[in-house]
Amino acid sequence: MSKEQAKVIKIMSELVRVFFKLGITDIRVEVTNNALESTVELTGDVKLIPIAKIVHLKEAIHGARQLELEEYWNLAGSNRHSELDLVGALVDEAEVEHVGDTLRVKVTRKA
Amino acid sequence: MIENVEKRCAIHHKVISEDTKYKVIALYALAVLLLGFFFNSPLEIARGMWRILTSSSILLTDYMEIANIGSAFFNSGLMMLIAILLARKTRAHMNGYIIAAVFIIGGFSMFGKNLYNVISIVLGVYLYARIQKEKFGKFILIALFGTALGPMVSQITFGFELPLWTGVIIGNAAGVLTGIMLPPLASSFVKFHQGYNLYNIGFTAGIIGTIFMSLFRSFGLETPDIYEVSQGNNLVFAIIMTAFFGSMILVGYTMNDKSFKHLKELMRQPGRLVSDFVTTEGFGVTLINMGLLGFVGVGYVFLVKGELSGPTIGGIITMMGFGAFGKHPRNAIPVMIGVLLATQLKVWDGSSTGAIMAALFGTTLAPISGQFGWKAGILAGFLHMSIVMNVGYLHGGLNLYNNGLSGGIVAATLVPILDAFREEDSFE
Repeated sequence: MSKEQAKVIKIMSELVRVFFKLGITDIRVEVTNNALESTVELTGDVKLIPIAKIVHLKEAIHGARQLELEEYWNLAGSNRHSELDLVGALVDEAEVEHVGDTLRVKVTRKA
Repeated sequence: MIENVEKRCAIHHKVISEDTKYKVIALYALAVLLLGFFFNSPLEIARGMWRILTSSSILLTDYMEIANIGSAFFNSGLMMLIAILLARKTRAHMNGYIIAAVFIIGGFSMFGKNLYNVISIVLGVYLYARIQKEKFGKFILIALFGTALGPMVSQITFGFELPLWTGVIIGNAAGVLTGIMLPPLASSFVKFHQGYNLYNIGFTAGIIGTIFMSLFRSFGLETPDIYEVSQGNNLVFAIIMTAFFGSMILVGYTMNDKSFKHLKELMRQPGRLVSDFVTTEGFGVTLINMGLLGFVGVGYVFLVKGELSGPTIGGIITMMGFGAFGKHPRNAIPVMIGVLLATQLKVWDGSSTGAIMAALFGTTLAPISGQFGWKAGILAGFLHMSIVMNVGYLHGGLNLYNNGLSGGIVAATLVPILDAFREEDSFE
């Protein structure tokens, strides 16, 4: 397994943690990894999520990659506390979509 | 990528351009450099710089004492400007982490870092990036923070009584090797304390320093106990620091739409790694927070009737710098109270330089009070005081971030216990 793949696993773990915290227990996860980029997409069914939490989610993982913070990648998804900001710093693009009872989050990390 | 970050910030606070942020931080660095000429003539500073560059620089070597006050400020300002230039060259964002790195270099350039002893370490990190075929920008933070082991280079060169050129070669080789070792270790060790020790490289450097020192001792090489600390300058330093931190609050207030908005939100953040206040709350309010922390640091020194010297000013500047990357008065003060309590109940004199440094640098554990409450912060500070006084021997003063090593041990021990006994769900 490459270091890049290890980072993708951490990002996925953190996002699954966030979904659990939001009360979503039925989650579909899709992960792709190739030489150019990696994507992690989570979809979950949810009936009621406070809008503030969605806004926070959008702010935290807006996809503003910050190379300087790569050192801390090991922190994502590895403890009980939120590292959403770190996920935001590790990805280049992020989509957060809340339509009806479905929440979809997709992040893209370029190689 | 810079535009991308600005887009993200624009969600809820005013965006300050990278150029402006760089200029503001560079102006503060320049002010520190020029301050040197207020105390000493250019010739005295030149002589002082030579003394600084050729000293062993291990803990506790106050450049104000072994050289002069002007040279210490000059060295500090120069090192900050070089750090800023390096960050700019790698196209790093002038966000919380770079601000913290710049000021930690400035702080420790009062008592341990200089141009000679950091170059090989930065070069080592650069070589690691080349070996890994990665951009150096990914490792710029490690390169800047990693200069904690500068005294190792100086000690080998000037302190072990080796022939000069032998010392230069071995010292710099050790520096390069250290730089190569730092990135993988820093990334791995951060898991140990789960981001609750803000000086992650301090912990990493402490382990590397311990390994090197163990090797030195096995060849009969020992570092001397050094305690060269200046005193008697409280009034003039207090005036300078009041102007410095006061201006920071004023500039921040102006850049924050002449308001203190977002300060409350900033103070509510736990501060755990990675908490970049510039990105999440804005540059202006971050400057305000930094200025406030500076005053907290100065206030503490006066509270315990201590001395403003190179190491304690370095501690205050470092604490202020981390006001952009995890620390604020709300999460830092409980840790300082813990250290203060420890000095009252234990064997140390609260006004001694070591105890003051433990309080100032002990705020590396601020995320513990930020996450688990002020009582946990006091406990962390209380424990830190004992650990930090005990671990210096391990690396023989080669690692300037001694408090980072201690902070890592305290955080790794306390956090799982605090988590386990926490009543409510701590799952944010």
